[in-house]
Amino acid sequence: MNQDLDRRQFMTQVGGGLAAAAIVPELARASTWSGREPIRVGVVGAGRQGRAILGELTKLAGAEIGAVCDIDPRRLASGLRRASAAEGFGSLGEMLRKRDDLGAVVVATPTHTHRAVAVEAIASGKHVYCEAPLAHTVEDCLAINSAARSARGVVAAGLQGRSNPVYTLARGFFRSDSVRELVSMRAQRHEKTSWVSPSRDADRYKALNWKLDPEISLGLAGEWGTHQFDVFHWYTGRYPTHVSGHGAIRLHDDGRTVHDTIACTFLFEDGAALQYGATLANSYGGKYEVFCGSNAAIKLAWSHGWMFKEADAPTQGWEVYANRQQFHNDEGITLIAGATKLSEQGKLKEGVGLPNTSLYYALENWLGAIAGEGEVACSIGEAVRATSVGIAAGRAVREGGAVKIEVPSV
Amino acid sequence: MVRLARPAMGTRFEVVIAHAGGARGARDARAAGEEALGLIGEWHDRLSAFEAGSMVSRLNRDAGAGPVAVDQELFDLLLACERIRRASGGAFDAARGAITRGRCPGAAARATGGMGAPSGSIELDSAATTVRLLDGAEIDLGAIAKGGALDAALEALLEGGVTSALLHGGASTIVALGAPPGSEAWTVRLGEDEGAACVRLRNMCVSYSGVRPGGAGHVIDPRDGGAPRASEAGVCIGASALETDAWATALMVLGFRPAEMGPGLASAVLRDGAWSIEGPASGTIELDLKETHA
Repeated sequence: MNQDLDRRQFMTQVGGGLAAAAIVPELARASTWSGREPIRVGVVGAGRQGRAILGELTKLAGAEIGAVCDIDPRRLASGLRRASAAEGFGSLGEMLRKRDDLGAVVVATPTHTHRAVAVEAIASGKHVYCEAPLAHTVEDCLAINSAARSARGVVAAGLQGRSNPVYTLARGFFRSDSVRELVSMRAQRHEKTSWVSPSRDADRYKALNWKLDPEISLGLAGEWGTHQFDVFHWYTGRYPTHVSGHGAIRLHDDGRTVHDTIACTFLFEDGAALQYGATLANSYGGKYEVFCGSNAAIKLAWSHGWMFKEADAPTQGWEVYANRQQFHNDEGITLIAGATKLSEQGKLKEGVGLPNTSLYYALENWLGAIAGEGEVACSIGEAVRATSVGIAAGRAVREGGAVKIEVPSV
Repeated sequence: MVRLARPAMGTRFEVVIAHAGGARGARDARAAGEEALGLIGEWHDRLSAFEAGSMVSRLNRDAGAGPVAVDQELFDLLLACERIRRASGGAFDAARGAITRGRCPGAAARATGGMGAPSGSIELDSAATTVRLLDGAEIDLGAIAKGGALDAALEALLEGGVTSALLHGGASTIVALGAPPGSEAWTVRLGEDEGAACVRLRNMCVSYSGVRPGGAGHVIDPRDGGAPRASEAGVCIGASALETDAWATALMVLGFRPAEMGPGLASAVLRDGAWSIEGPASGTIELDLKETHA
């Protein structure tokens, strides 16, 4: 893969200050809000992700949770417990009608319902944060994109790698000479979980377990993979042209047809490949992405990142600050956001691992953009493209073959 | 039986679920267990003082500043902490994290007066759902969060239709739902040696706080930063794991059952090798502590 243009651009921007520029990125900013009134947010969807969002919003000074909305009364009740004095609603329409004071809406409903919720929320003039994958069809993605283009508010999508401080730091290295020629890419997500939500009521069971419904689920490739594929898009500036997939049920043989274990291979125009594996049957290694280059490899694991330099790679200077971790025969240089400052304070090791979740930084970025402090890290357009790759991968896994990827030009 | 486990709060949580209904029953039991353990993970992420991004870490960083808005769940937990602190005369005190987390070791703390904030350093405003920590206060929910998480997990099991399960956090707080197949109650051994006391539980929780073999203990008296000297172990049995978790620690520190302890809680304190058992022993609780030894 030819990265010369990216590398030249990066070097031009940072010049001789590569070490400092690369190692002092926009560290996890404290949640400052410059004395502004916090924006009142309504959260739609109070499942596991919705509850996580409520938890992070509670920590962000720029937000005040005004309302929680879920069609499921039990989930609504549990969501309200994760907020302070928020009002509960069973429908988005009711929430928007009765709560004029809401300035922003977070969409954390099942993927196949994003279109209806996001389009209505955007049309109401609110700022909107929509979870990813953006939708379960390209058509729905494009509908959300169309609504976002005429939005009065700030609209962002939840592909969290783009606002993650460690990922931002590592991207600076990737786009400089640190990695050099890209050799290969791989990623995985392993979790031992059934993906089943319990319920004694048959209708509720079906509604809660939409991820196991082959009619509407994007499977592991779409639901999980989209977030990780986007990291490769963001780093390389390219999208794959083809994906082949395979899936199997290796553990949860409970009548499901959505695979619990998958493998995909993405091909890029220049012959580079990205290997992806995901499973619900094993947790080893968790979730990570790896870029292997002729000078170094970069491994990213959401809260942590490492660079593994080749023995013949040139010294860049910043390594003097580095904290290192041993992985069997490999020594990883820990990528630490704000390393120079921490090093000066003698607290370098305290910077290993992000203090907050990726979700926190994504929401913080969106709230900052609402306040006029920069752009959203992930636009709806980016999410349309990333989701279209996830949708294609999901199809390749279902069909057990190769699929041509057509990324919409939005 | 379905058996699932996960690490959280510096220990291992485990759930064992008895089920009927073949493969479908196993699937539903597993789903309910995963939901329960997932909630425990959420409690860890939100409440661990060792997680820099947790709400508790945020509160600790803001100690001495103004009130901080928190979610209803955390607010209710801190209300319970304050209630138990008062009832236990400070033998349980979630705001003395600097002591209980070992940064003000007993002797040094006593010598220098460096005990952090005084007892009662959490100010709670129910109307605004805000928390204010006095300067020097530091929340450590280590003696109550396991129980609270287990209560939340139990709710998830019940919601998932589970009627028979045993759930524990680090084997020190145990929740017994129903009874195992073919039995009237779950039998739980308190302590690590084979001769340790047993309790039989059905729809009840038990917490054990004690000196480990060899005399080492992890409990610190929040009143003075020293190791508890009044007893070797405290046991509390009741309907809420949150209550039993906090009270087992307080009982061990105090060495006796205070008058202010809730009437629905059974207690046992091990002093000089002998158990002192008090409180209600209803039909669902069967204390069998006679065979124990120091």
